[in-house]
Amino acid sequence: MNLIRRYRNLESRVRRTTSVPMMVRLGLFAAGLGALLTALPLEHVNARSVAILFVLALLPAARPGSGLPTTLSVAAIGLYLIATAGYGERITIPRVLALACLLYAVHSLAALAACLPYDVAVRPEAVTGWVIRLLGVLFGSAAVLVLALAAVGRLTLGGYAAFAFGGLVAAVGATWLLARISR
Amino acid sequence: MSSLRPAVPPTAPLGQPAAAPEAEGAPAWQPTRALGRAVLLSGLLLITGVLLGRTDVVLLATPFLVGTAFSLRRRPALPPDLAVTIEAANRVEGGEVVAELEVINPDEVRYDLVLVRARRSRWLRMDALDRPHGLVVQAGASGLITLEGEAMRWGRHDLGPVAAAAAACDGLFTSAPVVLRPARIAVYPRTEPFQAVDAMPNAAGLVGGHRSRRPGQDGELAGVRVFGPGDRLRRIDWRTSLRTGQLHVAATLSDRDAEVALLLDVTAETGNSGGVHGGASVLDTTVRAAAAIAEHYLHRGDRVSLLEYGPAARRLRAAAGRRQYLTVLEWLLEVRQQGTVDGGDPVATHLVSSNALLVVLTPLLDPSAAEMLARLSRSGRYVVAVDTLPTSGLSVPGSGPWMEAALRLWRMERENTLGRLREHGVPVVSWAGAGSLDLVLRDIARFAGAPRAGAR
Repeated sequence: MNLIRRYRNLESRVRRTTSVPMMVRLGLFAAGLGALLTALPLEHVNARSVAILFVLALLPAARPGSGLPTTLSVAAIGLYLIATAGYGERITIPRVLALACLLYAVHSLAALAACLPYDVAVRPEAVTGWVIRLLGVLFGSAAVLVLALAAVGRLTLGGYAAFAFGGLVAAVGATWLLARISR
Repeated sequence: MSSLRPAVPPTAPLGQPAAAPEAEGAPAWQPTRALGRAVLLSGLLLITGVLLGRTDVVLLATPFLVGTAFSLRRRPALPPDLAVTIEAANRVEGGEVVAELEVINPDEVRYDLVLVRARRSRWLRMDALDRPHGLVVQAGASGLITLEGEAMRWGRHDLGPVAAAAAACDGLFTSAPVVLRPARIAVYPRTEPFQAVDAMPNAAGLVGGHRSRRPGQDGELAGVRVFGPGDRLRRIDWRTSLRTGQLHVAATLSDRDAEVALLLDVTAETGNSGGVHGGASVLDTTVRAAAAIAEHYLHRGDRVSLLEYGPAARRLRAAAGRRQYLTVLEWLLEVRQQGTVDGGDPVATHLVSSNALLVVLTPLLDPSAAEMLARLSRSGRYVVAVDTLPTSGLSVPGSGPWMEAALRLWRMERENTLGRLREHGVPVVSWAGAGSLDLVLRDIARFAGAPRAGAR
């Protein structure tokens, strides 16, 4: 009886589902999968690991309002660190740029998907405006990233005190932001 | 830091009374998981990059820092506001209902997404309300959601409550849901076409359209009599006067209005009400028939009063004209099933004129209703009972093997009651729209015209 009720609930949900939230979730899934694949060590790129990443990327798309997008982002960062520090893979600008953009896309699309119930009738300008802002942030970040790289000159620091100071300043800035929000 | 909550506005507050978020002590805007995620990932990447001495890891945080700074450059302070406007058209069941939901942004910051949910009465068919709506509302502006639908049944129907929750700063903040109380839409009953012959048992007013037995200046010829003081010269019947050699005048009867009292039995409700396109329950038939009868007689210039047979025993005093018709429609919107009458006589019969035609709309399910009809008839009033019990779709308690036999016995007993009522001089007719009451009204008028023997 319970199964029948669950089946009917699922059937009702599928029938009521609208296209826009599904497209946003599809975008979230694609960004998540892209981030994981970008971060995955090249040695482990095979059908099995891709299947696992596929399932992992589906989870935030299914529950965008939960902590799963955060988990996925942390997993991608961890994979990237393993690939570069553990397997000694070469750090390239396109890879860093792609991973940074995909991680932010996961974050922003998860925020949008969390606001959109599966059956919402949403006006197109709401989603297009959001996506345009997302692209704007990505282009701006890419510009900042390239400028920073041009200023520093290389991707590995090797103990530059100035860069460590810059990171600490950013960390202090994040703390200040937290304090401001909690007020 | 205050606790984070999902960005999806909860639906539970919809059923609760409207309350401003500030009144509950909660802040109007709260950070979402997305903000927590942005701060967490930024911090994690920065600290990891600094600790490992890796520029690339620090740079991974760039979009989060840029995006969060861009989104938080202006934070909202005021929650959205809601307003519902219902088009003030003449709403009859089966007619169109148009409403507008307005989402107002009183803040100086744009709402990136406002999610609006609304409930509605099941008798308002508005497909647009079956799902939530999302829209962008610019700073200081408002967004409109137009709702078009059909009113399926008479009555006062709720549109709402309506709830709205806004997301701003690219989903980093969401407002607490704002709930608007339901708006009431009055839907008047669709009057079935009703026409009755010009046969009122006792026209007793001053002026009107019915023949009376009192002499007057109107068109119905009563006879020819000898001229007397006060008679008008133009009424002299010259032919008779010349033949008899004495002045005679043509005497006429006056046309007078009548009072119609509609008694609505609200003690029981049965049958499946399917709205204007479906079956009719007892109350559906009662209300629609009452509206049709009232419209017919008020249009003819008669006075109509309404009474309820039920514990509340509401009453609308007799009056004539279009204003009374509108009052009758409003009065009918409040008709509800009220349960059985516990003793006493809830009908204030002394308030109904003894000359009034009393039309009782009853399903005759409660035994006290038949007793009431017999009592009214014995008191000398002109009573017509309209049977409002639907022919199909009766609500039967249970479905045991004896139910069919029990139902048949009950029907026989009811037929017996109807027969006894007819013996008491109370005609019982089923409501069938136009001409439903013609035959019985003619009989009643004939009885009323006959000389009465003895006291009532």
